[in-house]
Amino acid sequence: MFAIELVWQSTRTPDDVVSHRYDGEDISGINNSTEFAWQNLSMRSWKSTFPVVAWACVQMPQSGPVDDGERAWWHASIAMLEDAQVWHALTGGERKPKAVDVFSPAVRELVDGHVRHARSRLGDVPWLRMAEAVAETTGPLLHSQHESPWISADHVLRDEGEQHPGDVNRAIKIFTPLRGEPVLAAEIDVRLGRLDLRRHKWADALQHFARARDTTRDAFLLAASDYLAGWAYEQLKHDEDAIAAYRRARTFAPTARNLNVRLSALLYGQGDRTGAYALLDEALHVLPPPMDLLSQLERGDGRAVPNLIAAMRETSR
Amino acid sequence: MKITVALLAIIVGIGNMRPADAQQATFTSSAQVVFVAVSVTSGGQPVAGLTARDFTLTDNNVAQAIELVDIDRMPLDVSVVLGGGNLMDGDQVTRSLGDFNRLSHRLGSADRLRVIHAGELVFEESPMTTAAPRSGTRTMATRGTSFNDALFYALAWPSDAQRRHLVVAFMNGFDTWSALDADRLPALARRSDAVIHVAAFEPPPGRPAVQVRGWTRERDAIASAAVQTGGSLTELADASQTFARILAEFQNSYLLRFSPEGVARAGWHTLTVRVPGRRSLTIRARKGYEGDRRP
Repeated sequence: MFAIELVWQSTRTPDDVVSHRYDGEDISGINNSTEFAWQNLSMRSWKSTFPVVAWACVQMPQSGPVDDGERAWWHASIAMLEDAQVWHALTGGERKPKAVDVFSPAVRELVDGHVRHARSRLGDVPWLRMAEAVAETTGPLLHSQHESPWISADHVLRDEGEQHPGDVNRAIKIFTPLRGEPVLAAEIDVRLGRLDLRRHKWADALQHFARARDTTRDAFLLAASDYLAGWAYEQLKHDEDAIAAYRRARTFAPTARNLNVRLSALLYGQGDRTGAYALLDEALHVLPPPMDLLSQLERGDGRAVPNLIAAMRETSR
Repeated sequence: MKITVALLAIIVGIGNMRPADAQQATFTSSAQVVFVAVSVTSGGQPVAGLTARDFTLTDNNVAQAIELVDIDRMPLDVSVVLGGGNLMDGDQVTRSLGDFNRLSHRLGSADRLRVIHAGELVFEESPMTTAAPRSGTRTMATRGTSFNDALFYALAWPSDAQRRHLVVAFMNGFDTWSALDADRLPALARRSDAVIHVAAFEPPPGRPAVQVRGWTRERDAIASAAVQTGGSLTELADASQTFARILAEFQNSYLLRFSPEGVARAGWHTLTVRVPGRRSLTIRARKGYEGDRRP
């Protein structure tokens, strides 16, 4: 159980990041690889995360009652794969190799899917249905988002136009039935709103975000819905509403870069140059920067890995 | 000869001015004072010796009474943006930049220099200071670039009324990481007190057409932002020489001052600066300023 925690922690402290602490003056250690690490920690981590999760999955009980510790492990391990964006390991679907001796734990995951393994032990619990939906949709959506060859950042809200409507519509079909599950309703609304942004349906998106705010107290979901609502208001040229939404999101994510840059630009455009610069300067001085709200949303329960590991640790006592 | 104009407009409520400024000011209107920096060159060389009587300035087509401000006592704030990117490799850019510390030697003792890095992250590589920037990694070849965000960070720098602000930005590729689209920059630049000059590498031959189209669209938007402030976008070959030329032009520019008369206070004010009878001169000017919200 603790192997998985150690692996995850190691991906959060790559040596080329922790050896260069920012003190406001000396940032000589910052280089390209460090920047890359900050923005792509999970891309770096999947090689270490996935084999450990796959190995541990084989060690888990195959039958008998499920205790809290096992339940916590399944949730944490799935969240880690989401955080590392190893979607194909969650969904499975790879062809089973003919030779039995190459059916390693990793191949087992890629064939069956880690979610399926979890479901065989936990049943059809809501958070597993959400994990499956996120895993099935996020990869294709990110891929189709990056049609332009030079746009490589998946944490930036952009007007993607109505490219790849098939992927968007498929995701809507997958997510919509889950809205009937009360514990998932708010997150589903945030996700459906995000998909409506890709379809240029600004008003529909705003309705989803408003509904999410009305149905959750989850600080992250509130911030994500406000951030995305701010962007929708910007597309509608409703700057005052956008500023208000961004300010609400900022209470949860005060140093989120993209959020602060967009809010700052709006304030600057309205003549509040002092306030705009203060926000911008504060956010850009936080190194390493926090993970963007959009990136967190795309990673499903990956955003909750620290809490899930803590829960796993608690149940083992 | 092609005529271009460089002009910096600083909008200052007189109530916010420092005592020294207030004593120098002799406006008839106590409501608003506009400072306007004007670059005048001939054959690429700054033209010296002009007086206030050599210039005409209109604000929304209304001629204004102008004064020439003594800029000898106004030190500079210079913001340099080193845009990471993907057009040129790091060695090429580093060679082009040369020894960046030498650039600071071209500044006066009271002038300040700030260096902003624009890779995947935007940060101050060197804060605004009179000291020479540290030597260190200067490579501008990064996996991605947040040039638009960095340029906004640079132009938003709150220079005080006693200083003049110049932004020199080196652009090395398509923006891949910014929260802001380049299309947003012209409107933001209109509100800035800075004069923005951008030096950009051109895409090398063989790039896919879709990239070249994207690059052209971005470059045009950024060029528009620079022109709004009285600056320009130029093709970059030698970064050190480019910086020296831009700095010399700015150091030798003029600073006009006027109190708007006969125009509505609110809204956008289009400015036009000319040097009548001197058609051979190249004049670069800011396009205008945003007035108070009050009518």
